[in-house]
Amino acid sequence: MRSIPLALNTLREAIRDKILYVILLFAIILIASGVLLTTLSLNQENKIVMDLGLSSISIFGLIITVFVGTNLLNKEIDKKTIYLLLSKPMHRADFIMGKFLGLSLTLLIITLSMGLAFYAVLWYTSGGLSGIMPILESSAQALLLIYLELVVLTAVAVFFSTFATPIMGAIFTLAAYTIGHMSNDIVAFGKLSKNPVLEQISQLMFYVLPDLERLNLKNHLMTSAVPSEVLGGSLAYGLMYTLALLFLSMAIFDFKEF
Amino acid sequence: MWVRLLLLVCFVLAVNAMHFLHIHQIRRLPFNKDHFDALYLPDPAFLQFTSLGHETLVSDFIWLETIQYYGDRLSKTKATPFLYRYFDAITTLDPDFIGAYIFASYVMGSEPELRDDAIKIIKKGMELNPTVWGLPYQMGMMYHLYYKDPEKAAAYFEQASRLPHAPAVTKNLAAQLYRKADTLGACMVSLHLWGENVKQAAEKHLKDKAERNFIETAITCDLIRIRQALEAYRKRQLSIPVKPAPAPVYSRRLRRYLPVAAKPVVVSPFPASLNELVELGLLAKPPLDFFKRPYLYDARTGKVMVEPLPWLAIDLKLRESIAMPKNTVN
Repeated sequence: MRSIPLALNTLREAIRDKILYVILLFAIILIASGVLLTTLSLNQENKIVMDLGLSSISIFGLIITVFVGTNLLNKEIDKKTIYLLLSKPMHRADFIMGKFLGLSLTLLIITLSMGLAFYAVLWYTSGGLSGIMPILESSAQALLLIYLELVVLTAVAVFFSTFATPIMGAIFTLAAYTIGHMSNDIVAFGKLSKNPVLEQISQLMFYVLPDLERLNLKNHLMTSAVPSEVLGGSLAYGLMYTLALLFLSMAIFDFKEF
Repeated sequence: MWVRLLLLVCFVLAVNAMHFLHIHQIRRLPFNKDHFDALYLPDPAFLQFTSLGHETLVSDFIWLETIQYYGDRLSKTKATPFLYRYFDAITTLDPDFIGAYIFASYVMGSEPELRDDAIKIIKKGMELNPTVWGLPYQMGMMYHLYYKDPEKAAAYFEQASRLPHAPAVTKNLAAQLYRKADTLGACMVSLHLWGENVKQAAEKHLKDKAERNFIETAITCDLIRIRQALEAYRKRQLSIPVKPAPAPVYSRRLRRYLPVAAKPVVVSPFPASLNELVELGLLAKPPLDFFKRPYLYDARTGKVMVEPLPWLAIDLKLRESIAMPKNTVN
């Protein structure tokens, strides 16, 4: 509970950040540019708008997560405000949790804003609500999992920022995002190598690094929504991975000396 | 001072080396500028690996590029050799992109040299989307329009008709093309499909039309069966050795050859009647048409006809086998 005021403060801080609005504006412009592409798309208007919209939400969400998330702790350390905070009756774990929740809330607001822009563009190109209804469930599922992916990446960014510099943290988080989307291919390559050591290493990487393809429904939008057990499994996986990383971050931060 | 000079020399050398490599690279590129399209499109597997969860977006961009490429070549009446590569990349990245498979079948199917590649793309689509009726339908169209293979086309239309949301036209097309294939097996499948159409037709006029088609197909199957039996009869007759005429006998008394009474036995390739085919076991029973009328048979020519139908036959090929009405004045 002690982390809630810190979370709200982090949210307030993020909202006051002008760069966030610039990124959000770029995202909305990109989502809206789907309207222009529809003229070239040869009867694939909805598909282009959906793919471009959801990918824009995911990519701009990632940019915000990486650049805000990796600076969360270091900003407090650089400005020496962390001394003020930790001198209060507050555990270090609350600090980590508060920062994480604050950024997650910020990302929720940003994802919802971009989601609204996405549905508005889709409403315009598909000629009303009737065009949106068939893909409403599947697109909502995809949006939910995009948000969860951003939450997982926030936890990754917070984890790296407990022991690395912001630049290194950003690089590591981007690497985690890249490998997270390639983890299935890495396992496949390990199997193809026919080398037991490589196979074991690729399996280990698969289990340790986040499997972000599990949280990716963007590529299955035109078909029907996924069953609730698959969605539930993905949600549970994402939340568990986030929790595990947060506990690890708390443990590392607890040992940190200023 | 010397260090700065060395750095300057290194910089100049590096710029020169870069320029030389750049020029060398450009010279190695194909002279024909049309080939650049393919150079800029990496392997689909590589694109899939590097698109980091945004496969459908990358696929969309290649789709837009493909439309530009095709439109540009079409307006300049140039060949489109890289269409397969584009469509393969699009459908590898987004296997559910049904529009891409169908567009590929149109634009590649109309080019004889790209037709086999179009088949490859649609087959890939059918494997990846086994419940989409549009893909086997498109395959059927390809075999019907371009390969002129009614039996194969009919098989694909039949496959399409069994899939969810398939319109009734798929079954009708399958039934018509099976009949057109002119083999007994295909004709029996056609008969079965028309039978299903009769049962499933929701409206009276559709039911009537399906019934007429069913009867015409039943007659077509009978005609194929009779013609096959006649062919078997002909082969059987040809295999019987021709009995030679007896050699003329020389009469010493008359001092000449006596005339031979027996002539060589001439074997007719056609039976005297269709019942002869039944007797020989070439037909199971005396053939009667759907209205229980015997088929008209000309023993001299071996031609089989059917009595006029109560309507003008829908099947143009069957019309050739319908006898003229008796009261028709020529």
